[in-house]
Amino acid sequence: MEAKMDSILDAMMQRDQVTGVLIADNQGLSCGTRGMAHSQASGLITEISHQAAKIHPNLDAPVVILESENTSVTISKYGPHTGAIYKKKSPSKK
Amino acid sequence: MSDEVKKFFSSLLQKINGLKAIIISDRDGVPILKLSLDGKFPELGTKQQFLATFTIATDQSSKMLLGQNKSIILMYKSTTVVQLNKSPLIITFVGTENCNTGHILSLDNEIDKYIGEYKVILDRD
Amino acid sequence: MKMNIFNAIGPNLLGYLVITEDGAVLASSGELENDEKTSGVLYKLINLAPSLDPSLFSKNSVQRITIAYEEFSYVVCLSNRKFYIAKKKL
Repeated sequence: MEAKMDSILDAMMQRDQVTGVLIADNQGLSCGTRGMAHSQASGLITEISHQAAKIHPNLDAPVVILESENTSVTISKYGPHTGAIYKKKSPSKK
Repeated sequence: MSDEVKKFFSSLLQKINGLKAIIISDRDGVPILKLSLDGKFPELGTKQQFLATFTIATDQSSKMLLGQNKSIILMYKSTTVVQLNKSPLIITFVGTENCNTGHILSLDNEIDKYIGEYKVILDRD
Repeated sequence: MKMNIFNAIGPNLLGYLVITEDGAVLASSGELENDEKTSGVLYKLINLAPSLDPSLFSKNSVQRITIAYEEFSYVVCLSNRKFYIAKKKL
């Protein structure tokens, strides 16, 4: 299972503009991180996705995107896991 | 405890999913600050004997040549208890079975900022 | 109402909310009119975001939060110490 998780994380890091990846479980414990994503952030990322899901509890969990001037973090939930992808923003898209 | 500390810990109760109560106690499990979300305290994880067990457990686990023990997570059928070793204080978080454990653990540094002064006072006594 | 900045979104706008930094609702309209539950949840969510990574998101640097569902999305922006929240159809 560990190897599969590692291969997923590595595959995500290969993508364009991705600077960090994190996967956390339902209890906010980090399953794996790459790049600039810090394993300490796992709890908060799970918390954000849980909180966002409370807006419409009957619908599928939403995707949450946090954007700052030059970075964006996309948080989404798949089954028992929550994933976060840190991306560098391309200046042209501003 | 000062209002600021109280405010900080009450805000944690609001922020962390599934968290029901926070107890700050000394090594013997005597509570210094008790906070809960609805004014009620769950039976499990809030009694003095329970809190004091942590002192023994953390002391024993520090003997495993892995350095000083920092925290212990206890998972029961319907309760999660996270205890942080902030010697001479114990901070106990009691939550539901799917409480956000990771979030509690990541607050370690932030908690240090707030309880630092109390550590000094207790050490002196 | 002076809150016409939301009109720029056009026909895809389903509703909006304006809340202060301490969570009080200043204005609401459309599907979000008097929706205290949603504004409460969103307010909590907004307050979680800055603590994510202090180096990445310093206190006021989160510029935008998007919460995307399959058919609509919420967009939150901070301006002039107020949170502007729009619910948009995708």
